[in-house]
Amino acid sequence: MNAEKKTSNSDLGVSAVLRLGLTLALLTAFLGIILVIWHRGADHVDYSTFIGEPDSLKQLGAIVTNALQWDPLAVAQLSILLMIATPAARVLACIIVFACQRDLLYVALASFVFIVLILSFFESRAG
Amino acid sequence: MTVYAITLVLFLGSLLAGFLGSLSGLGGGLVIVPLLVLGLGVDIHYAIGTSLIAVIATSTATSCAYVKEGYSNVRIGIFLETATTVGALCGVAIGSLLPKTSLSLIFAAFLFYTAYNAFTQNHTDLKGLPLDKMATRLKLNGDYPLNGGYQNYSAHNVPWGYFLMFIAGNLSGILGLGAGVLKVVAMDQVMKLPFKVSTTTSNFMIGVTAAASAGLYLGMGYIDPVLTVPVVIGVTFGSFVGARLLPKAKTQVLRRLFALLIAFIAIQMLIKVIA
Repeated sequence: MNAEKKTSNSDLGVSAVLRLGLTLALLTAFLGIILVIWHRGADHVDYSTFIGEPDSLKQLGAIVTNALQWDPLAVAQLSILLMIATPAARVLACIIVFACQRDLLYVALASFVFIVLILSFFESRAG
Repeated sequence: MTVYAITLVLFLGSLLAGFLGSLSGLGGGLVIVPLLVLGLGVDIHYAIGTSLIAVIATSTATSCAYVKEGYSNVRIGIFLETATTVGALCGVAIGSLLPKTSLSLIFAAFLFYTAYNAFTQNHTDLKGLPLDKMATRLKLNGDYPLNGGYQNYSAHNVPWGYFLMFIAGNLSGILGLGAGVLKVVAMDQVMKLPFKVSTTTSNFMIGVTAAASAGLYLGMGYIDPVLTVPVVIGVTFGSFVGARLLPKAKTQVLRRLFALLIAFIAIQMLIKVIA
């Protein structure tokens, strides 16, 4: 058992990416929830049958555009987008860290995971 | 139901979900789906979308703490994630060909067995095991904080662990449930990793796996901001509390908690089959 051990800088780098992503997502989420409650707090909602979200809450471009105009639901949905993007950013950070350590095997493995992530995201957009 | 009410209920429920999810490595989904479907009468599609985001939030919030403190093993996570993601894609592809009912039954039985094991067993002492050659070549060995110092560990049975991860991804693609369980079990029981390393590494992995499908579900309109945003906030804070507690928690207690939670998942699966 080693008595003392550092947390390596690389792990801290990965952790920093996570913190940044989470902070951005949370701040946007708070903003979104305040806007939603402010404008629609008393609205009655019914989720008992599935009708699916409107296109304005499904498409990346529309979400960002509407969020910039302070549309409450779009701001809220933007926070979800940021949340989804965070693990991908983390894997990307891992690739960079492994590259700095000249660990080619893990650069390859992490890149593979990253590519699958990106593909699955854009595949769904196309379909 | 008004937006006020739904926001408050979901926020409170998610605090619990994040807390349990971060400690067990199972993600925040296992409380969210029953709360939405049984508690609030929300359609299962919305519930799946919301729970997926809850899993990502748990994973991200807890990973912040666990990577820094040296519990989760990023290499093991990435290595096994190559199997899980491919497994998930294959699962989606072959999902329609397989009989879901019998799969769910088999899986539920497996979960009960695992719960029983986790509940009764005092884990084998890891220190006696020699280093595994394959794990060493793949750099899957590491150390984690224990009793104020650091304890080394080595991964074992790498091919079996890898195979089980493929199946884990497969099942999550087919059944949409249970990936976290198999991840923890594969690392803990098969690869003989310390329990806290298994749960925290699973926490890291489930976020990546969930993100892969979240894009898909967003595009299909499963993700509603009124439902998901309170959950994201609640789960994050619940996870922070869980992450604070983990270093102090006894492995034995965590193992019991894990056993109870997977028995609960197994019951959920059975209800799904019957319904």
